Amino acid sequence: MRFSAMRHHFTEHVPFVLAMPAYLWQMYFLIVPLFFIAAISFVSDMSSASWFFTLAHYGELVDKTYFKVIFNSALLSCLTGALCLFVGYPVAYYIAMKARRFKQMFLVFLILPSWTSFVVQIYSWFYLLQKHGMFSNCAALLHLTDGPVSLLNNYGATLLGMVYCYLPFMVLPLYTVLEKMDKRLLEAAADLGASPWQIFSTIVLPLSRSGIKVGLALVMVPAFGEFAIPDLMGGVKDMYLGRVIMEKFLQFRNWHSGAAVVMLSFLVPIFMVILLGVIVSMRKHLKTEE
Amino acid sequence: MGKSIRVDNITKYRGGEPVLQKLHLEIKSGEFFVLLGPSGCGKTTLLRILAGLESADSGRLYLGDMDITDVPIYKRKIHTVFQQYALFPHMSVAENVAYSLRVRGIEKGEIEDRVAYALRTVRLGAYGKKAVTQLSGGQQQRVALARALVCEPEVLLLDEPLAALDRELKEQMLMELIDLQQKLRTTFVYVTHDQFEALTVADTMGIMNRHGKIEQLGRAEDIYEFPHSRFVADFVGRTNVFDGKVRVHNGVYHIEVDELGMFELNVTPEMSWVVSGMQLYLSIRPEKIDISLQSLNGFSNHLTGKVTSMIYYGRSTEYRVLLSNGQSIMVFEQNEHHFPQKSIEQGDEVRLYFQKENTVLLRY
Repeated sequence: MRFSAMRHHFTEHVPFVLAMPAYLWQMYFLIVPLFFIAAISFVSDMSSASWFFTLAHYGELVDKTYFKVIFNSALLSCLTGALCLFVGYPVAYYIAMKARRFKQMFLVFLILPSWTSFVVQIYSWFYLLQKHGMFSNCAALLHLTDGPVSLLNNYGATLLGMVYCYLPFMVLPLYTVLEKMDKRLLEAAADLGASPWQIFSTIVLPLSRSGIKVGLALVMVPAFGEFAIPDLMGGVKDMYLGRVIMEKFLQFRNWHSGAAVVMLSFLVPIFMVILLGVIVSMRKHLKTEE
Repeated sequence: MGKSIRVDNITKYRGGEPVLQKLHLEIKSGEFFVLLGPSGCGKTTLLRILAGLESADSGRLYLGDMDITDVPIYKRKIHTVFQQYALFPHMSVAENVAYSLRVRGIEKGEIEDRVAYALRTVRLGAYGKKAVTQLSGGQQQRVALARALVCEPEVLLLDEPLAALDRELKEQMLMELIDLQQKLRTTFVYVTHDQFEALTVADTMGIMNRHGKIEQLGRAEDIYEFPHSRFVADFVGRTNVFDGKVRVHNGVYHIEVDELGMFELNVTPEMSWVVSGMQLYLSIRPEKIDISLQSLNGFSNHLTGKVTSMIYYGRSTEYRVLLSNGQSIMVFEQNEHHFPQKSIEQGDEVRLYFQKENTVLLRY
C-alpha cells in the first residue's frame, strides 16, 4: 500500500523530471538573456556607476527611419507568410491526401534542403539567378529578354529566397493537421452534395485552421527579424530590423539602443499575434450572435 | 416517394481480388431493403458504389429509369448515414443538418425551416445550437439521419448505422427507423451483419455470401422460414442441420441420417428436385422442436438425447441436447408457465419432437 503510493508519487513526477533539462536550457539561454536585454534597454549607461532608469532609447525609435524599418520588416514578414501559405497549402494537401506510399519520400525531399548550410542554399540561388546564370540564359534563349540579365538584387529575389527557406515551417504543421483529418468527413460532404471546391472551402479549410495558425506563426515571427536573405538576394537596399540590431551591437557598439530594437522586434510580432487572435475570436463571436 | 434501384452486372475488384462479381439486384421504390451479410463480404462496397464514393469496374447502375453509373457523387440524390456518423465537428447540430441545403445554394429562410422540421422529425428540436461533440451516441445517430434526410433524397443508404449503440438504444432506434421510413416512403437501403436488425426492419432482404453474391432475396419471413441454402439457414437465425440421404417408400419421403434413423419429410409438388437416394441437409429451427420428459403423441418425428447444458433467458430457455450419434442440437422452449410442474434438469434423458412441415430441405 505504502509502496504503491510511493510509486504513484514517483511516476507522477517522471514527466517533470524528464522535462527539466529543457526548462533549464530555456531558462539559461532564453529567459535570462532576454531579461538582461530588457534591463539594458531601460538604463542610461551601464558602464558608468551613475546609471539611471530611462526610456530614452525607446524614444530614439520614435522616428521616421525606424518606422520605415519596422514597416519593411512587417511587410516582408506578411508577404512571406502569405506566399508560404499559398505555395505550401497545395504541397501539404498533396502529401497528406494524395501521395499515399510516397508520403515519407516527399516529406524527406521537403526537409532535405534545410539539412545543408543556409549559406550554401542562398549561394546556389546566386548561380541560378545571376547574369549568365541558368534562368537568365533560358530567358535569353527563349527571347524573353534582349540578352543576359541579372535576376538578383530585387524584391522578387528576396521573396523567392524567403519562401524557399521558410516553406518547410509552413508545410509541416499543415501536413500534420491534414494528415490527421478524418477522411470520412470529406466523403460525407461529397455524399451530401458538396462539389470538390465546396468540400475544400467548408470542411478542409476550416478544419485545418489550427495548422494555418501554427504555420503562419512559425514563418512570420522569424521572418520579421530576418535580414540575411534580403541583404544577400535583394541587395542592401532596404533596412530591416535584423540588420539594425546587428549594426547597433557590432558596428556602433551601442548596446542600449540595440537592446531597445531587440525588444521591439520581440514585442511587435507578439502584439501582431494577439491582435490576430482577438480579431478571429471577435469574428467567431459575431457569427454566433447572428 | 423514393426511387427504385437497379444494379446490373456490377463487378468490382480490389487488389486483384473480386469483391463483387456480376451482381444483379433490384430494389423497389419506397421499400425498406436490408442487405445482410458477414463482415467483409462486399456489402459496404456495394453501398459505396450506390452512393458514388467508389466506381464499379464494370456494370451499370440505375436510379428509377436513369442510368447513374457515371453521375458524380455530388450530383446523386442518394445520401448516406455512415457507420461512425461522420458529423462535421466544427459545426453545430443545425449547421450539420443544413449542410446539404447550403451547398445546393438554397435560400436561408427556407434552410432554417427545413432544418427545424428535420430536427423535430428525429426528436432533436431543441438541440440545434449544440455542438455535435456534446451529444450522446444515439443523439449523434439522429443528427446523421436528419442530415441525410433533410433534402429529401430519393434513396437513403445506411451503413451499419446502429453498430455503435447499446442493445436497448439499438432496439429503440430500429423502431424509429421503421416509423420514419413508413412516414417518408423514401427507399431505404440498410447494410448490416446483424440478423436481428435485419429481421426487425426489412421489408425485403438480400443475403450476401462471402464471395460477394446475393444468395437469396425475399421477404424477411420467407428468408427465415424458407432458406434456400445452408449458408442462409445458418446465417439468418440459428438452426440444427442433419446430413442424410432421401428414401422414398410407397410415395412417402424420408431422410436417413447415419446412426439416428429415418425422419419423415414433407415434400410438396414444387420440390420436384428431391429424388430418392439424394444426399441433402435437413434443417430444423431450435424453436420448432418440442422438448419433453414424457412421451408425446401427434408428432411426425422424434429423437432422444441427453441435456448437456441449459441457459435460462427469462422468456425462453435454450437447451443443448446430445444425440446418440454424438451431434449436439439446440432447442428453444418458451417459458409459458410460471413454474413448470416438473422442470428439465441438466443430465436428464429427454425426448425431442418435431413436425415434418416445420423442416426445410437444403441442397447439398
